[in-house]
Amino acid sequence: MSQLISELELLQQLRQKNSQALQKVYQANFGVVKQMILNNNGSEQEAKDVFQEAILVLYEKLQESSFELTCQIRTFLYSVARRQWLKKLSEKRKVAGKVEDFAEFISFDAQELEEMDVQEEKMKAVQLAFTELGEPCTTIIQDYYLYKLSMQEISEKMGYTNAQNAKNQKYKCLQRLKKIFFKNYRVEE
Amino acid sequence: MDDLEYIERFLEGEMEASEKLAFEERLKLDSALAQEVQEYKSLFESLNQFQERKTLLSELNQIHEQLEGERQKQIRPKTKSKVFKLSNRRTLALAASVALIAVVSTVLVMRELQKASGGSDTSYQALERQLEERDESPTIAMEENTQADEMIMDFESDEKQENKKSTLTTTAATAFVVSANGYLITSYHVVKNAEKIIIEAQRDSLVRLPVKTVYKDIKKDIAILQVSDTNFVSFGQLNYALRSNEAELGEEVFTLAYPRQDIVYAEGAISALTGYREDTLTYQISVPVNPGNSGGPLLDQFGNLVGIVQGKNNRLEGTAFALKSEYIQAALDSVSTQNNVLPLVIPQYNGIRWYSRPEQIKALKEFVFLLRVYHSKE
Repeated sequence: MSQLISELELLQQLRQKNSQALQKVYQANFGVVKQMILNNNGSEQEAKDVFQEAILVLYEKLQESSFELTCQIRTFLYSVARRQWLKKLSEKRKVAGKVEDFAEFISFDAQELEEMDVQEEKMKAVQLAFTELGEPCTTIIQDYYLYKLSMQEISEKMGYTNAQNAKNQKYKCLQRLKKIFFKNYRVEE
Repeated sequence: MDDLEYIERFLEGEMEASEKLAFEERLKLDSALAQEVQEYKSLFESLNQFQERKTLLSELNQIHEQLEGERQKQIRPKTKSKVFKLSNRRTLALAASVALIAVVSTVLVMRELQKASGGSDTSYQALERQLEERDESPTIAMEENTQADEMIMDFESDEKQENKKSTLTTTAATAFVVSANGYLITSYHVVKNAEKIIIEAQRDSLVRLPVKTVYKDIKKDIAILQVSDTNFVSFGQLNYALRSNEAELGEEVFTLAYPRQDIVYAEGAISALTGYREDTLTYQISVPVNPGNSGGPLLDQFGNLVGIVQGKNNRLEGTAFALKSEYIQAALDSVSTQNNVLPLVIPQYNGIRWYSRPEQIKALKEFVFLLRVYHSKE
């Protein structure tokens, strides 16, 4: 019972992006995911990447008000990682469709799987869009939308004569970004 | 453009009540605009999530380093020789000097000695590429970058032109970006005795920028270059990361470089954890390289930087050498302290690790340049 309560507390803290909770979850669960991946044709680096991806999925799920975790954190992370790894293996055309398991896992329904895939593709599309966008657009867009600099600061940094010019440039860049993003993103869907 | 400003203010909730109402009325009537709004909404959400992921990943990486660092300490007994294992920069410098004094057979010393004495051992070949002195003329015709043009013209219309013409040689090699604000790294032997250095690459148009050497380490064969064009703004955010641990024997690696006018990809594996004559600063790699590959980045399968290509053994097939990445950050740190500039940091976050190889190359080649070095004959 006490374990259950602490799971709930931990989840609540994770939802609030508490870094100690994050550390606990990382420490408690990385081992089993690593074990699974190392025993199924993976490397340490791959174990790290897949596990971190699973944490990102959990984090994003927790931000949705409708999401309710119906199993242990460990089971959830392991299941997401397991599924990710199966996907990676089939991409690498190694041993597709099967892994040796080291923990309990749940299977996801079609909708959950699709949501996960869509999210992954979306993030890839953003990443790719930034590389295709070129300069000065990438810098302007990232400074404004990711690092939250003001148009005034961006204008000074990039050497525009005034903030209005920088702003016009930003909108041009934003239009291009949208075009590239949906080009990449829709192809994947 | 005006609409876009409205859309953004609407989505960011920056409109006043009346303005918002009016805009919502417009949306009801104008389905194309409504579609636009939906698309931007989705884009903004994705950008936010992307940023959150980045922040979280850097936190996770810290946790990971701590966790794995402790684990390694526990399981790894101190068996390795001190000189080989040092990661602390101060001790490293100390060890390097000790090694220099005490271990006469250290490869680098040998290499320097051989170079100095004309060298009877010719099997080590540094990989810069000699260019014909007049190699410039065909490319100049294609150039769009007038500023670079002027610079070349200046160079050639120098008063001492007659004298210089007969004594100048051009070599070509590779350099790659280590900091978006205008710093690149290459091999020192390439820029040794340089009078003028230019980086060049085909982007949307031909880009040519003058650079100057701001740091050199002869022993490690590293030079750091800074763009000296005052109009230069940024190379854009780096998308590769610096590999913090040593590469494993047999690991897949690849490099991008300019052994010719066009960028060339080559792949292979880490074939030994030491380089020429057991040099511990370098890896031996089974990557086919040619003159011009010097200064090219060596990357692991995820696109993490593991080294800089330096030279090859021309007596043995398929053995080249690359300086280990652990020395790169140290060099960058020295640049920021020596020149009193902001710290230069290669990101920890690798944005291209899940890309396919062609996608990785497409992203990486933005940061790899052809290096043209003009120097006087000795």
